[in-house]
Amino acid sequence: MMAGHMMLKVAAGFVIMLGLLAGWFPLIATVALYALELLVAVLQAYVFALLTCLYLNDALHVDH
Amino acid sequence: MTTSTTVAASGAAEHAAKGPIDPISQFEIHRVIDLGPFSLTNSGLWAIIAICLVSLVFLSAPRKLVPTRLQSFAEGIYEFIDNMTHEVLGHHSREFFPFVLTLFTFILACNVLGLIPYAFTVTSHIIVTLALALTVFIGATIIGFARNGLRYLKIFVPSGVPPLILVILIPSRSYPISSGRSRFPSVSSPT
Repeated sequence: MMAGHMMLKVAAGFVIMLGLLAGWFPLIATVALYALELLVAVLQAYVFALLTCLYLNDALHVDH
Repeated sequence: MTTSTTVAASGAAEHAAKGPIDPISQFEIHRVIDLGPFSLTNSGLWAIIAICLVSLVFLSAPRKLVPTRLQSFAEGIYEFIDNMTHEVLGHHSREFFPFVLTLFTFILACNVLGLIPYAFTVTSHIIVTLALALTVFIGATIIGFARNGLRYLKIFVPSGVPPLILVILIPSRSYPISSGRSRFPSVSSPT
């Protein structure tokens, strides 16, 4: 979450710095990064839940 | 008095000098309600908001035969985790399903709420994800020893190995320990 949020803020800062003329390109990048962050947000929760299940499975089924 | 004003002045100057790109100050933790050691920080506040959001979605979803939008959203998450626990844990899934669902929805809510501008991302701090991962890790170890006793140590040994081989195997292939160590940070990494 940390790296992605920092990248988002940097890209959003570029939008302000470049202004109306060239600011559209980092704006597109910001939207794309936001979509990526949304994906990562869901993926992290999924991976955490899946690994929890795997650890519990290891704890429950020792014999195989 | 003088020190506090100089600190405030330098803080203001620092803030003014940062310009439009200031990617790191969004992770600062400050106290929202100052009660000494029992203060509520913005991290804690957003965790509470995440819990309230999850509770609101699951409690306020109507229980109709033809589901509404909110109901199918809540049921979608429920069934997704239900399928996952059932696939991995088999007939034990009912016992651990509430825990896994709580964990999943809490992390998901924290992550998604953190994407709102000016919100605080609780899971961006490694202490939060590390605490969650350690809870799971220690809890799974306790459950393993409680259910299996000392037989739980067999997870370090591949099945069907004759005892004599173990003398050679244990020093050279302590890989379950190392793989456990390498899997463990992947849970806790704040991406």
